[in-house]
Amino acid sequence: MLDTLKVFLDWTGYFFIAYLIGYSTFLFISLVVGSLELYKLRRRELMKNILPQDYYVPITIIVPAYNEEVTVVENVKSLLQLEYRSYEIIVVDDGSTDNTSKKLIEAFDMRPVHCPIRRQLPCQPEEFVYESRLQKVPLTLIRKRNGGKADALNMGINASTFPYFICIDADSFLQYDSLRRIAQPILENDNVVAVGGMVRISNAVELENGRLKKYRMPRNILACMQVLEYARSFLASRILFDKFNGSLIISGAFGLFKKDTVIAAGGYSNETIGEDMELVVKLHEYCTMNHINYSIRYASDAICWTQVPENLRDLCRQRKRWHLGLFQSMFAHRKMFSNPKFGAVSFISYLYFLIYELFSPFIEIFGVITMLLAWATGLLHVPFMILFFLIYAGFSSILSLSAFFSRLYTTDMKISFIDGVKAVLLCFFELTCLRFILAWVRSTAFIGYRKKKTQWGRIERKKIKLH
Amino acid sequence: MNIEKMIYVYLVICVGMILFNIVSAFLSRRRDKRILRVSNGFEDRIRSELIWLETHSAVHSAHKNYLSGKLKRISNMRAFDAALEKKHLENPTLVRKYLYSIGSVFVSLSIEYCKKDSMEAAYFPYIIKKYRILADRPFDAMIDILFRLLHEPSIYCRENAMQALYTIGDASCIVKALKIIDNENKFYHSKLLTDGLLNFAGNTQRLNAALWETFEDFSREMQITLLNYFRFSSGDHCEDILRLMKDTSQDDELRFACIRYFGKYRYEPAYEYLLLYANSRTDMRWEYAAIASSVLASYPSEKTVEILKSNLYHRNWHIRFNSAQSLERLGLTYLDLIDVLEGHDRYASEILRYHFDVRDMIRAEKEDASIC
Repeated sequence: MLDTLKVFLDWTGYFFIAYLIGYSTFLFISLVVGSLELYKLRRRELMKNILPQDYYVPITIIVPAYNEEVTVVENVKSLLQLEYRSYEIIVVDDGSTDNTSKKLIEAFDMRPVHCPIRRQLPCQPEEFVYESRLQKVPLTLIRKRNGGKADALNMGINASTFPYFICIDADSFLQYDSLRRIAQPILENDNVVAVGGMVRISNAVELENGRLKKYRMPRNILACMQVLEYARSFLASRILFDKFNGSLIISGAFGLFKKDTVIAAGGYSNETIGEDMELVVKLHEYCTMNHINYSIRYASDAICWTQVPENLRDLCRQRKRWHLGLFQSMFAHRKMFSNPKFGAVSFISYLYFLIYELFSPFIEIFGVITMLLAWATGLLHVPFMILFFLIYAGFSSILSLSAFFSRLYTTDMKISFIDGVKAVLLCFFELTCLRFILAWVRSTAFIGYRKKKTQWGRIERKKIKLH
Repeated sequence: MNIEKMIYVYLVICVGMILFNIVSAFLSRRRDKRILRVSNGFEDRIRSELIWLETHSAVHSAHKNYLSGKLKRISNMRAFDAALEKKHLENPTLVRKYLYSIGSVFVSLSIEYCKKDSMEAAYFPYIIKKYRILADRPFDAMIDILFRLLHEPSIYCRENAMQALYTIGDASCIVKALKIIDNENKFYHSKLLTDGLLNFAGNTQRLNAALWETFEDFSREMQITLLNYFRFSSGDHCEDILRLMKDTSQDDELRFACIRYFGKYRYEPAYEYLLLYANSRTDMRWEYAAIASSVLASYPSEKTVEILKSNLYHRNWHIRFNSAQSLERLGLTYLDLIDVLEGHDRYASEILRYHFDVRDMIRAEKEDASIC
């Protein structure tokens, strides 16, 4: 019995070594590529490698909203301050039970219109439509029957008049030049069907006319740790995926899409919670299967500020939701797994998300259980385990810090000494405590899982300081 | 233990990355300070040369030699740019004279910058464009360098070179540049070219004539780009464009661009064809009817209203939408179209009502604004 257990533990050990080497190699490569790319981008700006600012691709901004009365008016005000000429704003109120529509109608003096909406994508029917042409750009409010975020986005796509659309969360804010920057890849290449923007945490920032006025790390420790997490994701791995057209996710908080292609692919799916990821995976599948030459890009200089949860309950709820969304997207497009037709998207991106995102919480918890088992049977080499854990934690902390500091190459970002110290102090806790808590949360995401397909993710909203 | 060693190696490299980030942040700060210092130096020199130029026709040759040596470095060029920008704001006329006088410096520099990588090379045409260095004195050698930059893979480099070429104001240069772009198998967004051509600094009529003369030599994509440019530039080509539009052997997209042209410039001989296209037929792509329905807003007549009204019942959404929009633009009222608004076809009445609603809303908003 003990021999069998020993063999099992040996093989488990080999598996974890391979797993960690794979993970650390990925993180390492993504960090190096991310840092170099950001450095190149900064240099490109200095060398005036920029396309003229007055060449505009018309864009529809779709803001799906559900019970967003606290932030929606400020959000639309910020969108009206964007330095871009050719765009329209469509707010889709998904049957809110609060005063989301009322607040908008009053704030922008909107008037009712009988707007016929072309149903290219299925969605719940509209209850009323209000418009205002008093603003810098046309502003439309569509109040519809509740159907979930994906349904609201599909309504926005149906009502949009421009060839490209951007989806943005009602609690997020775009930087003044973000539209110009996110549209730039379209001017560089005509096969671009989607562009993801960089999402930064707004919990402690002050914006003035869409410009960053004051930036500091949030006071809340949980939000602070998420800054490090976002840095790893947005300043490193997404840039790496972009290098081989392998992005599988464009954050629902800020992404640009080519309308025709999205409609042809079937739009946002009401069947998944993670509609943002599902759409991107679907675009990969649709374009590949139809032999369409396409690219999905990431614009690391197009910035969107978003709020992150400041309490553990909201964070856990959010991560459960994300994990379920990930599972649904990957399961729905499982034909991409090990399919040579999809090339690097299948063998690198899909595999990475499968092993290191979808299965990782289970693997990590399995690791902890195995360790306990080995300890209980006296087969655990404690000094080696501690050494290995410390090496791993140290390595991961340094990677997080490297990603965090690589933001120095982004144009408007300065890191104060205190923020630097905060990052150094918190990165270890983020990897040793928060990561394991979230692993547990994600692995239990399926408990009580039912198809909550029309549910909106809720976190406690705060008013952002806008001037 | 090999695994540990491997992770140690990673650790060392990561620490290296952090150090690299921190050091490069410091270096960047130091570089900024250096550029400021060098820029101040350039400013002093330019100031004294500008004083000299008030009474003389050319700058000192020593100054030109100094610039020729210094400006080879991109950081110095950035510093020079910052200094020159200040002086240009203070006295643009004198700075123009100064730039005219140091033109030969840029000729020698153009060769140097052409050798650099495309990211740095792009800075040179940016400077040429910003200070319109070739506008007064078009050095052939420099123009050749700009043509050469059009072959670069970087879109930024090509676009900066094109922007510099627009400032020369020479139609033949633009035609040549467009041919280079056309022959290169690299993507160049048509919007960049269309809008760029509108920035042409010379005689637009001459440019248009030159472009039209060589129109047939361009690829279909470039021809569409040129037609879009003509649409925003001048209504002098109605006759030629009508010929193209009528020619059924031409590509559909090209003919669509022609139809749009007549929406901007009303041309009576085109009217009968626009009516024909608006009257959708099964053997034609639906876009003909959709675009023609939109364009007909510039051709008020009973016949136009009749066709647009019938298009309101079309099964294609775009044709219905454009027809309703045109009817609203033609200034028709609810009463004029009561038969549609109160008719049996809900789609037709809704789309028309929407455009009228928007018109009323804009009117009401304006009235409210004037009262306030």
